[in-house]
Amino acid sequence: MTTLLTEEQLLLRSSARSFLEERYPMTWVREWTEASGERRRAMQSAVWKDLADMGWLGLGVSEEHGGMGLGFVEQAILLEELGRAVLPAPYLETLLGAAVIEGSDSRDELLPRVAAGELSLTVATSEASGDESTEWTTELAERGGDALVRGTKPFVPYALLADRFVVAARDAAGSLVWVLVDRNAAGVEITACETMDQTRPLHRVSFDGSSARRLCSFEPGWKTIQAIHWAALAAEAVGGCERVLADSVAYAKDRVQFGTPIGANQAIKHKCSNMLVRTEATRAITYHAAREQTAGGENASLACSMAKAYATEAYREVASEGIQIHGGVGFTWEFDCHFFYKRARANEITAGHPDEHRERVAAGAGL
Amino acid sequence: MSRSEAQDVEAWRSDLRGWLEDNVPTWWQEEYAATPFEVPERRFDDIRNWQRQLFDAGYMGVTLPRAYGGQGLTPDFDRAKAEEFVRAGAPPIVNEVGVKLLIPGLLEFGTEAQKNRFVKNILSAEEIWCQGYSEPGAGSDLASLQTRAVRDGDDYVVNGTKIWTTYGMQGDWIFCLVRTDPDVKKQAGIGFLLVDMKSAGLEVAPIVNITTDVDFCQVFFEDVHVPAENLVGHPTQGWEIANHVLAHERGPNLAMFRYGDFLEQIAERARATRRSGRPLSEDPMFRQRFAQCRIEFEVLKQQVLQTVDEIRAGRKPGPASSLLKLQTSEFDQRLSKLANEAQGLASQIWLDDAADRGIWQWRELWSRAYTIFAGSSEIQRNIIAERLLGLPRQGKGGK
Repeated sequence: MTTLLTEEQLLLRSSARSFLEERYPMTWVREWTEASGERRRAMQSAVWKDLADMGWLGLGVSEEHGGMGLGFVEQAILLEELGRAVLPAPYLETLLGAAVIEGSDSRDELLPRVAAGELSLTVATSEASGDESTEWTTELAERGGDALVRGTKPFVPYALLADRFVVAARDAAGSLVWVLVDRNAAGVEITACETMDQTRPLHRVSFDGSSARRLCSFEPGWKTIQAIHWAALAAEAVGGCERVLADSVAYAKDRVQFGTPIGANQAIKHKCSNMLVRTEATRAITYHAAREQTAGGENASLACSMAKAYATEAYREVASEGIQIHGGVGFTWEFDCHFFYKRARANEITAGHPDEHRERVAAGAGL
Repeated sequence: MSRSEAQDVEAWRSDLRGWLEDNVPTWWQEEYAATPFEVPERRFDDIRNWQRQLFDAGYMGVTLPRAYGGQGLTPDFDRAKAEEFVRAGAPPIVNEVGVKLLIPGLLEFGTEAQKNRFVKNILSAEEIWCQGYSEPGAGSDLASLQTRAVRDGDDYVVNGTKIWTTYGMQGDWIFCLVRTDPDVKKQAGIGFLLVDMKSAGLEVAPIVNITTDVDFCQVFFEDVHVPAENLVGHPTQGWEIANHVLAHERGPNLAMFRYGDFLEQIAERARATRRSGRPLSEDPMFRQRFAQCRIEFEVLKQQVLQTVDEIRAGRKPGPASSLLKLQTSEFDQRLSKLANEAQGLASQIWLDDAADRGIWQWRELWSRAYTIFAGSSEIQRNIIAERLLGLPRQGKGGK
C-alpha cells in the first residue's frame, strides 16, 4: 500500500481547489453567513447543483447507484478542499446519511437521488446531554405500516437546508434504529439558533409524531458511520491547517514592525514552523486513516480515531496561532482567521473530543 | 525496476535475512531496545567487530563502486537492507559518520588516490573516523569556526580545537573543517582536511557526559603537520563539500519503527506499576499521555513511509522529510520520559541496579542530546521557516 497519491487523485485535488477558489471564495462564505431564510436556501440550491454537476455528491456512491464508486482517499481529498474553503453546505452530513442508507433496503431508491443532487441529508443522533454514548430517547412508534417518531435532537447541522433527516431513534423493543424523516413532514419543528461556527449551523429539531421511514438497525452501520465521520473531520482539518498556515506566512512576510517584517523574528518563525509540523503530521495521519478506511480492515476504526484526535486538535492549535500571528486584525470579523478557528473548535468537540479518542487508542493498545 | 531485478533484490534480501538471524550479536539482542541509535562507549569493540562482520559478508557499501570496496548494487538493495535491519533489530555500525558524511564527500570531491586509500577501510572499520566540525566557539554558527590550517611547503599546519567528537578516544582519523583563508566571508574560507589522529601535536581529551559515559571528546591541534595531499577538493571548498554531503544524505532512519516495540514495553510496565491503589495502566491521565505517544508514533511512521515512497518513486521528498529530525528528537524525549514514569519510583535507580539494566533511564538522559546535536531544535525551526516557508532571514528582512 503506497502512501503516495495517484495522478488521478492529484488531478481531483487540483480541480477541486481551483473550482472552489473560483466559485466559492471567502466573500461568498461571508455572504452566506450573513444571509438567512430564502436567500440562504437559494445559495444552498446553487451550491448543491454545483456539487452534483462536479460528480462530488456521488463520489463514494457505487456506480450501479449512479455514483463514481471511489474510495475514501478520494473522499478525503475532496473534504480537505472543502475544509480549505470552509464551504457552508451539508456535504459531510449527506456523506454520513448516505452511508446509513447504504446499509438499508432503501439504497436502490435513494442513493441515485443523493448522487444526482436531488436529496441532501443531515444526520440527527446526539441529544441534550451532548454525549455520543447513544443513550438516546427519541422514540419510534410503529402501527401497521405507519412509523411515527417523537423526540428532540438539539444539535442537527444544516437542519434548515437538508431535505431529509437521518435520525437515530429507539423502537418499541428498545433497540436503536435509523429512520428517515422529511424536513417538511408534519410535526417537524426546527428552531434556528445561532452557533459559534457560523459556517456549520446547528439547529434544534423536534419530532412530534412525525411520519418516518425505518431504514435499518443502528448497528453495525454506526461503527462505520463514526469512522467516516472521524476521518472526514480530520480531512477538513488538513485543508483548514494549510489555509491558515499559508495566510499566516503571507501576513508575516508582509507586516512590518520595528522596520522589519515580523516573519524575520524567531518568535514568529518558530510559530510558523510548528504550524507546518502540525499540518504535515495531520496530513500523514489523516491519509493513513483514509487508506485504512478504504481497505476496510479491522484497523480502520482505530486509525480514524487517531486521526480525529490528532487532526482536530492540531487544527484548533494552528487556527489559534493564526489569529495570534495576525495580531489585532486577527481578532476582526473582516479578516478570515475567525472562520477557521470556529470551524476548528466545532470539529474538535464534534464526534468525540480528542480525549475520548485517546482513551479508545489506549484501550486499543491493550492498556 | 524490472521483474528480474526485483527477483534479484528479493533473493538477496532472503540471504540477508538468514544471515542476520545467524549473526546479530546476542549482547545486542538483550540491549537493543534502549539503544536503537546510539551504542554505549563500553560496547565499542563489539560494535566494531559487528561492522567488520558485515563488511566480510558483503553487506557494507551496498551501492558503492566495487573498486572502492562496495557492492555496486542499486538503491533498491540498500532499501531492502534497511528494512531487514529494522526487522531483525540489528545494531548500527561503528563508522557511521565515515560512511554517511565522509564517503559521499570523497566520491564527489576526492582524488582517485584518496578514494583508494580511505573508502574501503571506512567500510571495513579497519580505520575509525571522527568528525571534526564543531568547536567550543562554533556550535550552531558552525561557519565561524577558527581552527586554522596554514600551508607550509607540502604540508598544512593545523592549530585549534574541535569538540563533541564521537569516538575521539578510539578514532584513527578525523575529517575536519579548517579555516584556510581568514580574510574572506566566513563560509568562503574553509577547507576540508583529513588528519591522522596519531600525528604529533594532536591530543584527545575525554568529555564525561550526562549519562556518565565518555561518548564525546575534545581534540586539540598544536602545530599538527598534515600532508597537503590530504586536502579534499580545493583549499576553500570545505563548506561546499559539507553542505553537499548533508543535502545528499537522503532517506529517513527506519530504526524509528522500533518505537512500536517500546510502546508495548511501556504498556507492560504500566500494568505492573501501581498508583493511587490501582495499576498505573488504569490511570486516566497516564492513558491519555500513552495514547498521545501512540498517535505521534503513527504520525512519524506514516511520514517516514511517505518519504521512503517519494524517494523510491524518484521524486524530491516533500516537506515532511525535512521535519523528521525535529519531530523525532522531541518525540523521543516524551517517549522515554513516559517509559520511566511507567516504572514509578524504580525509575530513579541507575543502570545495573535497575530493572532492565536501566536502559530507559539511560535513554531518557541521552535523548536530551537529540534536540541539540546536528542542528538544535531552534536551528531546525529557523531552517524550516526560512527554507520551507520562505520567511526572511534574521536581520536581512528590512524593507
